[in-house]
Amino acid sequence: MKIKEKILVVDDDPNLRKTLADILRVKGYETAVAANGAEAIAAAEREIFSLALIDLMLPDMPGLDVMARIKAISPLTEAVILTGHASMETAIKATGQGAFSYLLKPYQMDDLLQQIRHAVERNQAQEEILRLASFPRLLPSSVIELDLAGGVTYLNPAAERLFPELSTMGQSHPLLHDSGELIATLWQGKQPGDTVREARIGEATYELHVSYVREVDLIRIYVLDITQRKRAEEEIYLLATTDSLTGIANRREFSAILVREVDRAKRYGTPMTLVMYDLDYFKRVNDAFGHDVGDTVLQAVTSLVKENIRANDVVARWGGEEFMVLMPQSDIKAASNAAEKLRLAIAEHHFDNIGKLTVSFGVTAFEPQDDLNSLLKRVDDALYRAKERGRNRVEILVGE
Amino acid sequence: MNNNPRILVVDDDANLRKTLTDILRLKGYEVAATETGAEGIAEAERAFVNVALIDLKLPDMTGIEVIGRIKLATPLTESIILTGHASLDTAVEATNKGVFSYMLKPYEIDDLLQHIHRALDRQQAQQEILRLASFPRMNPNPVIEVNAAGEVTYLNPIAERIFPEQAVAQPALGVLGEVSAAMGSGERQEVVREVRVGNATFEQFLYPVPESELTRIYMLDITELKTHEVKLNRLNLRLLTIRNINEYLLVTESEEALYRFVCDALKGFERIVGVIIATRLPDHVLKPVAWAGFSEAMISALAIRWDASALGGGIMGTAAREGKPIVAVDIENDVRYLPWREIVQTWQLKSAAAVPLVADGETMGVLAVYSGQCNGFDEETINFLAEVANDIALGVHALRLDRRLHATLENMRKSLDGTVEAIVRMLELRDPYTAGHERRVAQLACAIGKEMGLPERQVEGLRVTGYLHDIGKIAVPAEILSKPTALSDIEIAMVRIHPRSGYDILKDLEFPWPVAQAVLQHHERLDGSGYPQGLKEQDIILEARILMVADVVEAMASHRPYRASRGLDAAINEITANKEKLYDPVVVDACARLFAEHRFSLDGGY
Repeated sequence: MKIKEKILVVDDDPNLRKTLADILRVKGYETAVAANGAEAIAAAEREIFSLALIDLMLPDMPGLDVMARIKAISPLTEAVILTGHASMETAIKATGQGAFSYLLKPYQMDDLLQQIRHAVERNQAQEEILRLASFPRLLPSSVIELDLAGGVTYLNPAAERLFPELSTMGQSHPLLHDSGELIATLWQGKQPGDTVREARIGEATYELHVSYVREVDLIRIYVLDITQRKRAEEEIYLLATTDSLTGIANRREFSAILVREVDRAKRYGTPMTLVMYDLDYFKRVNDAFGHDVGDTVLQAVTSLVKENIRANDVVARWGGEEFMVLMPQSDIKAASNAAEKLRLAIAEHHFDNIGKLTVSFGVTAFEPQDDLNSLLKRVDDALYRAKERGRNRVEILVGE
Repeated sequence: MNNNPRILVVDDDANLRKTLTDILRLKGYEVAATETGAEGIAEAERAFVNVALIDLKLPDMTGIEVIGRIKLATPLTESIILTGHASLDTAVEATNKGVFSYMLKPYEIDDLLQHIHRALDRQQAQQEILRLASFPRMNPNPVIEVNAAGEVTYLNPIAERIFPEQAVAQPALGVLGEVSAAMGSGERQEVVREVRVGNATFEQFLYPVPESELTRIYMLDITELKTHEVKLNRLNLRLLTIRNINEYLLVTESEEALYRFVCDALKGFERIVGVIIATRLPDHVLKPVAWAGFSEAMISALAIRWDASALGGGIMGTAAREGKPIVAVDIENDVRYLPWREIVQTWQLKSAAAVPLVADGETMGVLAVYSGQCNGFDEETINFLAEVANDIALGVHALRLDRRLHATLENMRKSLDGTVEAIVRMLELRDPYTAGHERRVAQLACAIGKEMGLPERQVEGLRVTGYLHDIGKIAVPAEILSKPTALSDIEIAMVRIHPRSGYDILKDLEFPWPVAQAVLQHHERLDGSGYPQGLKEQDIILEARILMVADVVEAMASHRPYRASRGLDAAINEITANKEKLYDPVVVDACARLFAEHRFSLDGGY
């Protein structure tokens, strides 16, 4: 910002011009003088003034026109109109047209100085407002202000663009929907501090920084779009825990679940069963019809299985064409019934391209003396027995 | 606050208080008037005062004091001093200390109203400045302003915290010079770019600030997103590798092929320059069975054991012996590698990791990877390798089970072949006139299947199916089958039960092919005119569609005791004329090709 405030004195009386300019310099202002309207406008085009003192009566044009032309060049320049009693009406009109104030000649120098000070202050304040207003305006992310009634009092351009319905919907907008309670609490406490919330709108996720602004008694919300980050997090989770072909748990995830469930079964003595299944002659499907068909078959079998197990059973791809189903809270009888149901559902299904397909099942139940390895070994043995005894069947093995 | 500005009048002159109150109310202001300073302060504390009009001389204190006390509680309250000439200097001085203005008594009411108006105006501006200034201050992300000379003119609190003075200059701003110069000259309106500050990554939005030569920089911390992206990439690559290996498990025919596939899949992955898979031999030798990135000569020069000798001290031997993952972060300076010093130097190996291969609960070998950099493998890589090792174990386990099953099935197949032949011989005894029909249909069906490019296993199924396709004729009285004259309607109906009877006989037998279904359907026709079910088009399985053509051609082309052969040409004409209507065109074309190109004859097979 300027170091010295610059004032332009416009008057056709050379003595008065000189006196004023001298006094203002003594008071610490920089000054420039103009004898008529044209000179004044030319000066305003050269440099920016904080304030113009304009005599209403000028030889070449009315003082009000000069003011208008200067304001067109630099809108923030303030104007104080100096006038004789005869033109008082016009002077009053001038304040309605953007003049800061008017002063009747002859005036007290103290009065003039007071008005100059106020005008210069106003000019500074307006410049500051202009600069500061660009903070929310240029902000690439959204910022919102709410009043006590829950109405939206301010949206920056980014917010207007992203959430056009905010101004009419207010707190019922999906962005603010879940923050109602928080906002109410902030109003009650009226304590500054930043509280972070997340909001989902369709595919997008936003992070809301909600705080109370004491100076203006408003709630301010900074909104950051964290969709990409969330999506990456979800994708990482999915990639790490699911089988990309079938969308069910992968071996790593299933092992982790199995360890937990074995722990729980050991500690609380709750029943738990494990089913392992394997597609019969699946290599042939791959050989005869290619990988793509093989992949669709694996997917189709998986959806059949998912349709036919309970909500809290966990199905996972163990590897290749081998799958596992963990059935918590289920005894060997229930599990073998469930496996038989799965076997039938698959055997009766007509698969695209290949027609019929069967699956072999091994079933076992957790025994108190079991550890993870003994349990896995037994279910694998049960499955092998099903293969050996002709496939498309369920074999049960119980611990000794 | 803004609807009805509240004015406080503090003056000990009761008349003046009254007049002012009336006039101001008339102008739409809310007014409170008090006689003493103490009362005035109390009034200002009760409710916010926009403008205080205060006489300089009050009975209990000076007006300056009153203003000071009010401003303490509500800094935004504006004040105007009303004073006589005697105290003008005090009043003027007060305006330099936050008092808005003074008015000399007596004053014009219009002047006073102008002052109030401007005081309110200033107050509003102050409020707006406060509000706006809080935007960057409360912003949860860094905001920085830089002037044309590249000096930082503003940092919001979070920017101050993240970039303490000495750090702000270069890294946070990046190479700003040319960017802000371009902005200053109006060439660019907005610049978005990424900068790294230490370990953090920021997205930077740069804008020229209007009416100034400042450049505003908004920064968004996207470190987490960046880390996620890197992680996702790595994860994706790993999963792709694991998926490839997993898919290969579905088709692999041998352990050796599986090992080779894994080695090739891992080489070049992340920092891996070489891969070796070795298996434990009973004499404690660790034998490389597959590798990638190394020469055969290098591999054969390796001498590794899995016992506790010096040759078992490397990571491969140790992993194979102890059954757990082992890492060497700096091979060159690792005493365990003394026996292989030369190889390590020739191949410039700097770090290595080995994970055991465990199949059926037993350590059977080791998977080792090598890197050209020290510390090439972190925990995540080891976990990944363990997963690959798991996959290998699973594949090996499946292959071994498969071999066991295969041996069982091979025995079954041999006994099955014998059974089938016995059945066919029995049928031929009952129906000597068509002797050889089943054998020839089986051969032709196989030839058609091969011509169509079916897999060997399926072709084998056609052979068995061909042999057995007329097994249901056992249910038809022998005299009808061998009757040399035309059959009556009832007799025809009796012959036509044979596909169904054949199905009933075969349906409970465990074949790896759809034999019973093919037998049931071999007299169906594409247009639905066949029997017994009148199936159409794709509802008829491929095996049956092949079988029907082979059956018809053989029957027409062969001699029967009760009628002369109608000849091969007539047979081919018949199926060609009815292709698409009755017969599968692909099958017909394959069959016609076989005969036209003399690659098949009914007498001699191939």
